[in-house]
Amino acid sequence: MNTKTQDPVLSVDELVKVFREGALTLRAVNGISFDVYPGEAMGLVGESGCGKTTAARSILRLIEPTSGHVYFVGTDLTQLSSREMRAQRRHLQMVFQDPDTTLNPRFTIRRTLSEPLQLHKLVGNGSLEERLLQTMSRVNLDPEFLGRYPHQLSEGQKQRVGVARAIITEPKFVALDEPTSSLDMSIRIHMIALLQRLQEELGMTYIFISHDLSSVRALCNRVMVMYLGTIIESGPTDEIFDRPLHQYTRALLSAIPIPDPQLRRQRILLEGEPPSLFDVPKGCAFHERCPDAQPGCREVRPILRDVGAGHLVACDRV
Amino acid sequence: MSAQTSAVFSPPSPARSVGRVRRFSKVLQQNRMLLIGLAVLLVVVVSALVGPYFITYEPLRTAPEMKLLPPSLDHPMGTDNFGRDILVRVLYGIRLDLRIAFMVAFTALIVGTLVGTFSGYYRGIIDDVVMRITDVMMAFPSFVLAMAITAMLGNTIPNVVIAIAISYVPYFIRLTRGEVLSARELGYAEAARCVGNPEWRVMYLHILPNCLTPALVQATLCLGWAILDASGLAFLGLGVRPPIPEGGVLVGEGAQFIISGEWWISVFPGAVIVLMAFGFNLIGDSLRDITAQEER
Amino acid sequence: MAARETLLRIEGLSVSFPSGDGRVTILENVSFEVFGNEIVGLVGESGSGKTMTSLTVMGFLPPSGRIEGGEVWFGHDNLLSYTEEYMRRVRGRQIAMIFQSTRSALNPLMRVGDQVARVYRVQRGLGAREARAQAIQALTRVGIPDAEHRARAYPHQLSRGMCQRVLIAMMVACEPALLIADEPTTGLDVTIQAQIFELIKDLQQAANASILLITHDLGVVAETCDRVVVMYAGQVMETATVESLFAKPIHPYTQRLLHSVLRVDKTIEMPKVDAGLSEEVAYSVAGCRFAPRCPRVLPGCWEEHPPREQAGPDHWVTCHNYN
Repeated sequence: MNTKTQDPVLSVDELVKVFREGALTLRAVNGISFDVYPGEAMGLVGESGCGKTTAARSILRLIEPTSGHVYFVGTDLTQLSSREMRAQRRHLQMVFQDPDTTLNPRFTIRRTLSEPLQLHKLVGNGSLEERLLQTMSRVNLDPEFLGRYPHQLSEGQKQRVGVARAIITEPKFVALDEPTSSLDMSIRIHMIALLQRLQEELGMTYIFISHDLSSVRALCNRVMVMYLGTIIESGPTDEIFDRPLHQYTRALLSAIPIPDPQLRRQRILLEGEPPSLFDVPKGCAFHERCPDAQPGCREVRPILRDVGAGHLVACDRV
Repeated sequence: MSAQTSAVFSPPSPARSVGRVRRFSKVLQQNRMLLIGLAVLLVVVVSALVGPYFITYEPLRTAPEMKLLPPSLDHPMGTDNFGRDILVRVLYGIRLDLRIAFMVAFTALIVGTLVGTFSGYYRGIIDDVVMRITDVMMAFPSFVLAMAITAMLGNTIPNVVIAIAISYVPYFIRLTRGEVLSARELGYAEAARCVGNPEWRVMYLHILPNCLTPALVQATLCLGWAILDASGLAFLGLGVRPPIPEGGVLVGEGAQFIISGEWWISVFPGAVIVLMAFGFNLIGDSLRDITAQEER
Repeated sequence: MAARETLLRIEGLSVSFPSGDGRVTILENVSFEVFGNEIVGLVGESGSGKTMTSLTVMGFLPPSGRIEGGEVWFGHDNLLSYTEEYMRRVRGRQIAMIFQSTRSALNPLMRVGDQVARVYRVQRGLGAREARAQAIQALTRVGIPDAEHRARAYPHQLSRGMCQRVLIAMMVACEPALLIADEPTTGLDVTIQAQIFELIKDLQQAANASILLITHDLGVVAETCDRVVVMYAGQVMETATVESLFAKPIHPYTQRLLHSVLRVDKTIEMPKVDAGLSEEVAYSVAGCRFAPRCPRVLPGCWEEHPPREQAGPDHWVTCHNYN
């Protein structure tokens, strides 16, 4: 997969999303910029409240961004009309987090899967059935499930229907929102394997939003770490996971239990809990909990800097 | 062979599709109210549909020589002061009342759910305006509202239907809006938009079908109320007018004769009205219980 | 190895539930021990029966469940033979349980400080003022900053991580000999999860108590537990010390489990696509319920219950394949 030799599929430029509740302002996404190249699987990680889910929804315009631009294969999505945006959705799909609530309980699987094809007029009457069968087999689901309702399927099966729905239009870009988080640890690997295989077969580009870093490591070639609405570190997966530079990334990685009792690990325990998004600190968003903080961190908000090998970090102490 | 990377098993699901008929009879067995309600209505409806074919009397033909006859084998419900057979008039009255009831329920349901969905989905100013209007409408007892509207529009059958339906619409709007408010937060609405659905499809094809149950239950109850309202209006002279046979009309015609002893002219039609309303109420209440149970 | 005190011993426990026209055995011949002063991990996929086992121990089996056989020995008594009234004395004082959904485990109408204090009053018989003071101490001990102030908060005003700490504080107040923790960090952020597990370990050591930790996360097991019990479809497949299980997993299910776990410290090889099978079949197998998916299945596996064999000093496996 080539990265820098081609133009990016997705290019996000200073995306901001702010929610206003009366007098309070919630800065969910505080100006993020990044590129995703064809064929890549870009991980977007962080804990709850970091803004990654809001970022994904803003990029896909499921909620309206407050400011910034999102270029999808050159087209600025933020400037499109609703009709134009709907047309773009054929290539901009999303796999949602909770399959229980994201499949319409009154629709059969067949109806749920046929709808995208019909909306974008991708099939004539003859080929609809064929397309459905092909997609079902791609996600390893028995075609007999087509006639069933979501409540008759297991968690894993429903999740795969969600994947099927996203890929049935053969989109160029798929955002995956915590696709493994509701699955048992023992079956996550199968979902990742499936997603990997699909990416190869259909030539899709992924953005993988998750707080499950083990899944991200298994699937993604590049990773971005978000904290309180900003990207604080990004780069190639192995580089970030093996040589994290930002204190938050290091704490995050050390917090994840590893299934190997032989490893005696030094755990970096963070103090307290993250501040709320209503109250984003001035200066570095992380300085209040950072073991390495200096007076200057309180004043100046660090920007992402390249420290070599495509590794970007937003920290003035590095 | 299905490749399932799902968990080992979810707790085993109960015996699959037992077959609709079996399930329906099981529901009937467990809900006596439903059974009784349906039985009552069945009797009423069948007699209204079939009865007139077995009776030679005509509902509108007067026969002064037969006036004010008490119930007998010839005239099971007696005759009124124009000599008309009351039974046949009651049967035709049932037909009319049922027609009115269904039209009312249908209209109120359609209008109410469409408006309620729109209001609940978009929120904002539209929602505020709709809510204030329904507030005003609901401030009046629905019967009074219906009275006012028929007084304005005039008493034809269509106007009666419109008047009563209008008085019910706010309830449907509220019910549906409430359901939509919570349903719109659920993932499938967002997923529907993500897939490329325009807003109107998300509202009416995705969300609304999931919010219909309470409205449908309410519609069943409305059938009963509508019969009472229509009869009430007719009795007061604001609804269907004599000589058209209708429940309230018949009761009204017989009102003046109760004191003089010819009780059958009012009582039979009155009893039939009550029976119909009772039947629909039983059905509606038991449906409400059943659907509430299923949600749990 | 010195003789250890056995705190909890489950022997041959079988529990059935109604399904369709008959009953299904949700737990089948479950046997394992929890010794004193240790943390035992109860591992399995969702639906493997881990929660049901713990509910049965606590006497919380739903009315439709029926105990088909077996004993649950706590000390010298079989808990299954206890009346509800007796169980109530055991619960909290001897065995306590933390559930998954934290917010619903706390009374939304009562301040958290009062809830913890109440435990002290009810379980330890302390007076109101004394209980309050102890409650604040307990909240501090579980890492809630500014406990005096936070004690006046209601559950909905606290984050889920904080709520979980409050629940743990209530457990601390009980000082049970055995604590059952059912996926105590579900839904919590990773960094908070790490804090909670450190807390649980500290408290366990300080109190010399034992913990039965139910989880599906093998990483948590590796880092927190001393011993492991592996369950599948309501049957126990393997029991061992953590070191022994990870170093030398014997049961085919355990092996498969360990091979398919994703790790954050290295990229692991993707499996060939899994050809699983219909879920309900597992329950209808008379013998070993892993037979339908076992790579080393023998004809006898379907019919006969595998024997529980000892494979090492503290390593037991329930498998026909183990010679």
